[in-house]
Amino acid sequence: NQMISQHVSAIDKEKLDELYEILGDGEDYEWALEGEEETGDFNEDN
Amino acid sequence: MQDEAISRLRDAMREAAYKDADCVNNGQPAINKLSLLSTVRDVLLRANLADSILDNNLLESVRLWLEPLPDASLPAYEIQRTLIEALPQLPIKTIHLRESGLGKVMIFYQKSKRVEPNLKRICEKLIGDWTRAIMGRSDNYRD
Repeated sequence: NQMISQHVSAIDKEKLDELYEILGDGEDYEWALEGEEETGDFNEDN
Repeated sequence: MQDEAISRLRDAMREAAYKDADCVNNGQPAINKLSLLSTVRDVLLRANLADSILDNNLLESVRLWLEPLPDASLPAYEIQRTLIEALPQLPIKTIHLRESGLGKVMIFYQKSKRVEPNLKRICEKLIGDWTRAIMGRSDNYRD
């Protein structure tokens, strides 16, 4: 049973790695999110 | 012939994105992407070009167009709308996301408070679809 759960974990880890590769770790454009106000900045005139 | 036209457009889009970034850095109005937008829109709306668009990695230029500019500003709303609304019509696979880096900029649009709610909804749906494609696939690497 331990072998099976280790096998399953290995598959999930591979998929998670791919997810991080495709979507990043959330930090990629963090520099551009700094300074956005809490109340929301969407402005139709932009 | 079609592939050649699409790859030329991809290169022109890339060039326009870099020029606009330079304009921002120089305090000049960034109008290069806007000048090319109607051409890009016409191409993205043609369903028969979808395979060529994906095969020639036009999505990488789409990603460059959607990226925040050096001053952290977003591209013009019309640019955002044209590109984001076109994405659900394309049969985008994980390999296209890997080649283009498009997934990462979509995460930014999902998180940014400056994105129009309807566009954000589209981004969130796409991210969900792409995530399910990766997490739900079997081990023979087919979407």
